[in-house]
Amino acid sequence: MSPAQPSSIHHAAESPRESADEQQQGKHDLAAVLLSLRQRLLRHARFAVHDQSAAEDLVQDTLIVLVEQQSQHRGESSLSTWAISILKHKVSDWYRSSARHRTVQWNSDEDALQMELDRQYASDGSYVNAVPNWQLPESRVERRQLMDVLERCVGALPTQTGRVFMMREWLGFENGEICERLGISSDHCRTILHRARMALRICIQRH
Amino acid sequence: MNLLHSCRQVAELLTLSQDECLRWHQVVRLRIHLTMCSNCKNVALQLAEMQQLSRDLFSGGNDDTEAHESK
Repeated sequence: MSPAQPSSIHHAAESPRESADEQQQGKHDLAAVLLSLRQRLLRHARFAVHDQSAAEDLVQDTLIVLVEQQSQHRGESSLSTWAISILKHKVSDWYRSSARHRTVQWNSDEDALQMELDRQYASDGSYVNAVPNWQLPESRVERRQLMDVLERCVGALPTQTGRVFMMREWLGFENGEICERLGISSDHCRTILHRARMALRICIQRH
Repeated sequence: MNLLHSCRQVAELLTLSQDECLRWHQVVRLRIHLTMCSNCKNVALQLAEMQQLSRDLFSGGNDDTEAHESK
């Protein structure tokens, strides 16, 4: 009586079915992955583009490229890193392709943010409250939590401030190119970037 | 043109330095101020950390399958 024999027969009999199951499972996984990836890409695109339908189109294009070229993905980077880099090129091209994206509408929330930032300084330009030394997270989990906070803070920036920040930090556009694409002066661009970073600093500090 | 910038001016230089090369006199004044002011020193560290964090975030680093970590 050998327990190994029935077990191996059992295994051999089941393996074709397993592989069919696995294939089916793989399709489900891909669909689920694409769905969650879509949400993630949309968040990115909306921060950078602020035009709902354009953002959705750009994400759609990215997912098509992703599915078409899936076999070329070698796994040196994670799927979402790869997807985000494709989206980045799409968004950069979108900015570079046409002058119609230059329309920048300034809303009152930009001024409100500036006023909030001004309140951190006394009249002599020193800080009203002591600036704390950040305890940087050591573990990966904590670092990821901090990134979530940062992402929420970027999402909470006034529309145009967030857009300029994303063009700079995500797309990697130089100041001059941002000015050109949005039709603003380079002083204005510097002011917005400064405002964005100080706002994010304060936002993260609150969390 | 005072030799010692205010913290507000220093904050502007700190964020500017993430986008453009500062002029030498800006660098000198920035450094002098930073050696004397712990608030601005902390702001400088925060801004540097935030830049790294943004880069990681925007390149997809906030991901379960993250392959590497800079630290």
